[in-house]
Amino acid sequence: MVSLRWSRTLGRVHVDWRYRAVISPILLIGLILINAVLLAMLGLSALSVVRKGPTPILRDLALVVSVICVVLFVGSLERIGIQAVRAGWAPDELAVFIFGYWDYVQAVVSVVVGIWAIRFVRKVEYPLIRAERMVEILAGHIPLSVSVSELELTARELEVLNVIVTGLLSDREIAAALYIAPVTVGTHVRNILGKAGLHNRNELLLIGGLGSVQSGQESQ
Amino acid sequence: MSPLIVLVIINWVVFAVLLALRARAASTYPTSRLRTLGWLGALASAMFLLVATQRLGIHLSLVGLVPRDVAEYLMSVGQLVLSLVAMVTIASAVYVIRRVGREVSRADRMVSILSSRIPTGLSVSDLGLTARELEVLEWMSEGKVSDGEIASVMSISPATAGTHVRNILRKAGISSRTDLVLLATHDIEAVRTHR
Repeated sequence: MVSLRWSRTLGRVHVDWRYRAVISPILLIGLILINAVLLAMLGLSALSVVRKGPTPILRDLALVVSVICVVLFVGSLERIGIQAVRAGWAPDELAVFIFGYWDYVQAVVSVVVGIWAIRFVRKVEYPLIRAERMVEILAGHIPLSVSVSELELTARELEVLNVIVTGLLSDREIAAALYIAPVTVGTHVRNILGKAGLHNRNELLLIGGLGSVQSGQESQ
Repeated sequence: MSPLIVLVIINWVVFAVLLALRARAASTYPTSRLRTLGWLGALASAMFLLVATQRLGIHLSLVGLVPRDVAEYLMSVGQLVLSLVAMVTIASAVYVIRRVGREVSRADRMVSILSSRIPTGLSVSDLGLTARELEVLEWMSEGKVSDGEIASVMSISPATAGTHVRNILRKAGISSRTDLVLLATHDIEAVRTHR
């Protein structure tokens, strides 16, 4: 058993923890715990995006983030173990185990995850670059400051906006969806653009990008 | 050299390469939003590289290739540095993902909605476009969308540009310039065949 040999090798190493006094293990455990909590929070919010993200690309990117968080979280458990040994709370055998079997697994997993992440990101980066370019061309700029709920849109205007965010952009397309005259749709769209301070329908499509339009309708 | 040391060295090399690749990709992204996300990826790689460096140092020290003190140093002072760097990294990750990720997700969602407007199976190469029309499409994919803009970059009159655009729309069987830009960007390889 090769792994047993490593453990023996490591077991013979005398570590006298000379730096125990320089930096207290308790301080380090505190810092690592803070990191672990932050990682868990980031990982959990990424997981919620994986489950119900708006587009496949974002779900993929969130998956990469959550996997990285899991790996770093497990790594922080290892670090706490080491500091516990430094503090004298855990037997030296724990350090021997961590620097033996555990690091063997950890090194393999890190390499696999690292290579997987880079391949995965390369797969999604091209569509994302394309999306960004298209938006720059079509919408000129992304209207960030606009919030649908603050525009004081009428119920009818919200209905029109809700159709636009599904990708139906022309007066005729919107009119067919709402059973009203194209001319009326044109008036509604001009009014919405005026209230929002926007220039074209593509920008309207963007402000509805995160489901804010639906919530605007519910508040009516 | 035990297999573990070899593995830990491989680990370190992989993350060093990863950091270099990510940093290069991040600097070549076209928009500032994507560059920010790209640098976050580079930062994450740097974080992993730092962890791998610590592990490499400890293992080299434990087998006696570097002084024993190094392992102890890496587990105390090194760990302090690592914890603080990790904290900054995670905090900036949360900030960047909340700010930039939201904007990029809008862009991605907008394009995925708009893409459903292009009829499936419609391909630029099947339309029988002339070289001049393909050139017009390429300029549209570069952001020159109006007749005036196309005319000035191609040194033709706006009316001629308008005729080209109308002909492309007719051949493709679509009705709006927005859809044309989507089609051009979507099928950019076919658009560039006129060169």
